[in-house]
Amino acid sequence: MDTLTAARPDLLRARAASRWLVPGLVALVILLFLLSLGVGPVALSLGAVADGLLGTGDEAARLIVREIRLPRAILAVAIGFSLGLAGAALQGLLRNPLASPSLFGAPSAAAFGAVLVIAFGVFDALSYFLPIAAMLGALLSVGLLLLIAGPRASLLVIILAGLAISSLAGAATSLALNLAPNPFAALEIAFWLLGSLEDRSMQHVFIALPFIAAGCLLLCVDGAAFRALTLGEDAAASLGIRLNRVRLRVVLGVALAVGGGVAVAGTIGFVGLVAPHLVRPFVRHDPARLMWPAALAGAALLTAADILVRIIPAQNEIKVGVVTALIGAPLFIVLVFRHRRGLTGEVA
Amino acid sequence: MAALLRAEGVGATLGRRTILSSVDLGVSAGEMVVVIGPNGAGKTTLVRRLAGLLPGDGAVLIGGQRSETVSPRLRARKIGYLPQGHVFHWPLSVADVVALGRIPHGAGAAELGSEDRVAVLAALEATGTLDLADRTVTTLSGGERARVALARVLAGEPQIILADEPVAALDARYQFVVLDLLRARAKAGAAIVAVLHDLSLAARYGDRVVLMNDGRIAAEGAPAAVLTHENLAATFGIRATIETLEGRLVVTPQAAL
Repeated sequence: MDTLTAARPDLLRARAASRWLVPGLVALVILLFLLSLGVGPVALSLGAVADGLLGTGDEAARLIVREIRLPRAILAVAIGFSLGLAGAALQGLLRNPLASPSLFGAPSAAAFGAVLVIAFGVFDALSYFLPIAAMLGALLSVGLLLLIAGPRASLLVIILAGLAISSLAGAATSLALNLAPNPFAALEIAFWLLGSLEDRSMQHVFIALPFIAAGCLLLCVDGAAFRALTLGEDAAASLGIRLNRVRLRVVLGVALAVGGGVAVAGTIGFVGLVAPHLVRPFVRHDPARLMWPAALAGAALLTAADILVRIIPAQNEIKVGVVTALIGAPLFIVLVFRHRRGLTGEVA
Repeated sequence: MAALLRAEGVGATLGRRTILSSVDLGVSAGEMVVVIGPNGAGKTTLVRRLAGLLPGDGAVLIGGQRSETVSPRLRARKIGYLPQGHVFHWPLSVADVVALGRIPHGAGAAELGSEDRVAVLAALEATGTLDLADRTVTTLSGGERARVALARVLAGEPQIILADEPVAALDARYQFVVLDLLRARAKAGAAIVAVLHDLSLAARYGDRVVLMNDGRIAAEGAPAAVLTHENLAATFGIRATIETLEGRLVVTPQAAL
């Protein structure tokens, strides 16, 4: 057998083919992060950004970089990262490239949870109750959807159920806004829901980050399970994968990540769909090796989108959620078109 | 010989319907048991129950130990389960798919160890899929996919192999190739359970044949004892010619009764 190994040394070693993918993406994210600190009404050079970060430059630059742009850049990276990871995990779990948190109605449901808290003024908009409520909303939607999906539901069923949940959450959100005691607060919420990273402070970062980090921790451990699921649920279970635990981790992880993000940035869709799609060919479609690249691609995407909204001239800054949807939705349509034959079949 | 895998009074229900009831079956090392039966007889359910994938009445014992008390990982090392259909959800390379069989041995996300590689290559070679190793699995023909699916199971080097319709999509030659492979594993000391539809193949390859009907074992024993006119009429509802050609039992279904 050793002669066989010697004869085909390439066979099982191609896993190193994408060696540069992760370092490359990390470099890209860092570059975009720094760029994000420099872009805005006051353009700052890389040197000025560095000075501002270190506090060695003038006071104005320090304020702009640290107080205004740093929270926004951190949130873009963190939220993008977690959405990319959540998309990769959901796609791995459901064995389908069309799965993503938005498809599950998770952001809308999370937004409803958050709105409920703000609209009725139960808690301060900057308290930890906000992400908790958002997380519970997302948990409800993702849990409900996986329950409906069961082990063998077709993707069509999942999409329809996701649509229903999204609509329901949207309607419930409108209702909450209508019934809110303070209409001005309600209007603000409605605007905030469109998904933006504008004017976020470090306080937002501190509120969202623990949830996002916990979500990412839960989402990143099941690569081997997702790889095994290539063979279907029965075969994966027979390989020793505890599918119930995997499902639970993914549901909780997605809920935490989406909840944390929505609580401070509103609904930002399609990053979880697009990011895994972009990097999948580079990892030879392996759902396990997809995880980190998808997360990094998500971070790069959202940071880039957030830079874009500051470059595009407009009366009011364009919402970053609008940009991601404008990019993501057409891609989603293309993907649906490409998979339309599979859509009528079974996922399992 | 003590059974490597034993089912004692095993049952399973789907909703309120009983699919499997009080099945007793033991499979020893070195033995190939072929399960046959009409559609809906409970063959797949029995195999899934044996694989520990379904809850239900009774007990499944792996090497004398109750299946539920064996950790999933250890169970996965002992039992290789080949589901029917041979579906692959991602366009992985054949080598990567076969390497999935090493997951119970700890080759989850990390690089394959040298033992893993040897096992994967051996499985590829045994199933004649070494030349396909670089191919994308979703572009293979049905017969090629079936062999890759089997290679995945063999790569785990399980003592017990449960194969649900392993030759369903295969041409005549590869039906022999795959079943010869399973028999060779049995000769090497493994315990094999294979669900087959072809009655002559069942007669040819089964050390024992288990005839299922309505969720129960209707008959069990040597092929010639199970594949009788009466049994086939009572379970499959067919009339068949049963003859011995070139020293082998050949069952040719002739008509529905």
